[in-house]
Amino acid sequence: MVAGSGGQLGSEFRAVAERYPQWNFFFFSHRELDISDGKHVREAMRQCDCDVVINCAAFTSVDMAEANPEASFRVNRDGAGILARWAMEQRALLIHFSTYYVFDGLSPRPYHTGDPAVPLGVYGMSKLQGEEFVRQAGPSHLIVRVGWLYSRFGENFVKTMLRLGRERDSLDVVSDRVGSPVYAADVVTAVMGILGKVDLKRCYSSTYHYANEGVCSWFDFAVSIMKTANLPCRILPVESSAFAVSGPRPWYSALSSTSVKRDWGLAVPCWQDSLAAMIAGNVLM
Amino acid sequence: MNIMITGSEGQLGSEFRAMACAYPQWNFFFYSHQALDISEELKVDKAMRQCRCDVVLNCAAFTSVDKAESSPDLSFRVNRDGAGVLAQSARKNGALLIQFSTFGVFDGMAPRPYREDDDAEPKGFYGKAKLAGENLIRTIAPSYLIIRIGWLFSPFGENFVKKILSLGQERTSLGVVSDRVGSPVYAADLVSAVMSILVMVDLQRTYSATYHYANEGVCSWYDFAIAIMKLAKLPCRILPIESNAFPVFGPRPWYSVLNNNAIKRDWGITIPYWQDSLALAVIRMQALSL
Repeated sequence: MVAGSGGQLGSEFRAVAERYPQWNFFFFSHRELDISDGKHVREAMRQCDCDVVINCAAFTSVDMAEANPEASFRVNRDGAGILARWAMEQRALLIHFSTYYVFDGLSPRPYHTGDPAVPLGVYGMSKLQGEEFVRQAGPSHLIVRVGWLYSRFGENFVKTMLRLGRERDSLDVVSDRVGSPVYAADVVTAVMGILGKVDLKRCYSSTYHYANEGVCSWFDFAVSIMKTANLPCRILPVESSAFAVSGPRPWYSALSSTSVKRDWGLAVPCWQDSLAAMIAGNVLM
Repeated sequence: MNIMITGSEGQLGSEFRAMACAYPQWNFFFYSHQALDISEELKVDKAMRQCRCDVVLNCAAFTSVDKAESSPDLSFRVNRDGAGVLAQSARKNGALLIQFSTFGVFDGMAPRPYREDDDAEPKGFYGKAKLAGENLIRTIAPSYLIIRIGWLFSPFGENFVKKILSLGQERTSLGVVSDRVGSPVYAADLVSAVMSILVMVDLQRTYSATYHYANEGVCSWYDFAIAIMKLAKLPCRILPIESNAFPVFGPRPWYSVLNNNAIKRDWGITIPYWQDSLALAVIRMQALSL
């Protein structure tokens, strides 16, 4: 069962599901299933006799979370808790996605899964408490924190840059914040790889980080996007102080994927290769 | 204008030598470290008088981070004392001193690009010696510019790009550290920037500024190596590794990105993107090796 199937990650799951005919997928968009609605969640999980629930539903706007904390906590914390509770009852494995926003971004080196999580704002706090609700409810679970997520679906930095790159001659992009991009299709491939190996009799309780190999600033990211898409738009580096945003943004958000690679024998692609794959696919769409 | 360049056979000095012919209006005097040991006061003084030096560019340094740990004295003699001697001589001769320093003066624990006024807390002897050199210059030299730079590369001397190019020809795959971030600096870009500054300086004025110079953008050593392989069209696969898998002797900072806004703003220069400069450097290196 995949919750939040209309979002970036959910749509990628939907796109590759047919390559796994041995499994039955049940997709629920946030309109079809509000994960903070306990009754409805329980009913859906029973109906599909769910072995694995993948939670792709989240309230992801960092800025809107500051203005509307209740909505953020309702989905990101309470929704995660409800899924975990019914996963526990149903003896289903819960795969829950979280974010680099659980960290304060003040580290000078990639975050490991054991590093203390100290979120800066409402969004990060709601996601961190969601993780804690999952751990406390006690189902078999894997929490996967992801980096700068993009995909062919939904709204994301790459799609915004591709659009602006066609409209403008030049574009200012922040050069002082560093992180690791993540192509949603790679995350989904990794999760499918894990699902091929999980033993549903076992109880898992692990937290992982997943990001493509390598790091960049938003500026480097934008330069690569323009180059890869052959767009003539010039990218100019600016300091983040030049942009006013309402939600807090971490300085440093590179994630170390070492433990997920080691535990599940995964190879993670380099961010530039995945970006090229996404842009090639986007053109075909 | 008479310009004296010490350490003229190093990475930076060699780039100055290569670019000097584009500035026929100036007289350049090059001294390799064999020709002039900057920690020898009398010789430095004599050299500066002989060339009636208006500007002295100090490209001489003891740059090995690992060797600085095993022989700190050597590092301090060149990086601290040598800088002090040049500052004294610049004072006697009324010359502007341009000193090159390093991201190694910082502890590398910042999560965002280092600004010039961030606290310098070096971790090892190399950084300590370079910082002590900066401080002597600030105390002694009447007019100076100190330019701290990032991960330097050029066709000259030893550097990461040359090492990766040669390993890329020998091996089919290579593990490179992916958890340390910094900004590469192409020596030729830095030299162009210094030349533009020299065009604009007013020698009647006194300067006392510290700047950071690095190409635009950031990368990890892993990203850097991938870009090198791609540009050189070498089939060697680069594999990301954590730095604890790769023991080194001297301390290495985690984060060494430099904020280059002050030098751009004060001198109206633009700085190229690191991958664009790397592309030029790789072409040049391949041409030189033919």
